[in-house]
Amino acid sequence: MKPSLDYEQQLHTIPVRNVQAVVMASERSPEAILVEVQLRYAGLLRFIAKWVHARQRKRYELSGLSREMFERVDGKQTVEQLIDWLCEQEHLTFLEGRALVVLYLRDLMRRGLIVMLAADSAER
Amino acid sequence: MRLAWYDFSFELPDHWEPSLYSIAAPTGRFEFVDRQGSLGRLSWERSPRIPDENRILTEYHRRYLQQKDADQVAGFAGIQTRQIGRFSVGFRHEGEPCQALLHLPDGGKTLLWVFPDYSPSRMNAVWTPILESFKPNRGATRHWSAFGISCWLPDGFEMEQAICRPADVWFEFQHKNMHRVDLHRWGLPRELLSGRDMEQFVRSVVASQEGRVLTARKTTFHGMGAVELTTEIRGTRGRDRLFSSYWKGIGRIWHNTTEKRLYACMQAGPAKVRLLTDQELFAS
Repeated sequence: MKPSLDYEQQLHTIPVRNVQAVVMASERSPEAILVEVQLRYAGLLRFIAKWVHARQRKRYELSGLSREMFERVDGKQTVEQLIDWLCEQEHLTFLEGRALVVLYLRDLMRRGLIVMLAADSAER
Repeated sequence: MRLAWYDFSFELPDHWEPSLYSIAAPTGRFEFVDRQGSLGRLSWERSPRIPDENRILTEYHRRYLQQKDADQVAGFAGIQTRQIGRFSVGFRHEGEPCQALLHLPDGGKTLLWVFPDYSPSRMNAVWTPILESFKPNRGATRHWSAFGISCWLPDGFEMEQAICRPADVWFEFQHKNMHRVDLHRWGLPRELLSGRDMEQFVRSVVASQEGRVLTARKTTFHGMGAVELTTEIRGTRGRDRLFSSYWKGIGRIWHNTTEKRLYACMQAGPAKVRLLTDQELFAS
């Protein structure tokens, strides 16, 4: 069973970038950045992917606020600090900021760009 | 921050955010939180007859104790009550919830505030101003104010839907004569307007509501950049519905750069319906 975090613990969680993610400038848009991550296929898919020569890496283009948010993921700032930053920057309420930051981080996590560390594991 | 909803209106501290809301007129509730947790819950329900306020407040507290610690119920000797504004307020010990009850005979409803964690200082500093700020919200026009949207609508308008997502609020009202009023409030305008202007943005909004923009004109609204629109939506009543006729409408979107919010107001209705003016909608 996945460990569950309460509300306070969630706020003190620290998003950390995937060390294997490669950040580069986008040729298409000067304001955007590209983040390239390695794809991992689980179970049987791994053999199928090898057989059909499926792609091994994937690129994501981040621009505007999504780029600014990603650049603030430095392995030091907690989710709460990111929420405070977004709320101040965009004049959002705390609940709005929290919902948007959590959705965004969840999306980055699903795509393998970041991982979330609970505050105590980050200290170690 | 003013909360005005159906039959009631209160002035709340600015940092109180609604985390739960109801759009049903007969019974519903609002819950308010901040980053530390729950701040209060306001519920309303139909009660045509005058309720026994003391009995309800006492019973509420007794049930709270029963849920929290059944042993305490045996020694429960009732609560203290006092009058704050028009509300009867019941409380007991510090750390226990405090309840405030008011019957609205005009609307046949009872309002119940439940504030967690009673303390005399909190009662005086926070809850008393809220309860004293109560105003009935009935008459020829009704004030609607929540989630950063505020408007006045004539009697007869009902709330059809309220979709309150983070930084994306949409209230839809409809009159018995099918006059429809939509109010929007969006956050993150620089993201919404990246690569497009307000006119293009509002066109996509109108299209998503099965309407279309006929004309758009750049203008200002209270000193803010705005776009005025004429629109039409599919008729939803009688022959208009049968023949898929369009109903004419008007609208406006404006950018409040100080608040970093986009607002939009759109109205439409059958041919004989008189649409509301800005003075009527946003009169304070």
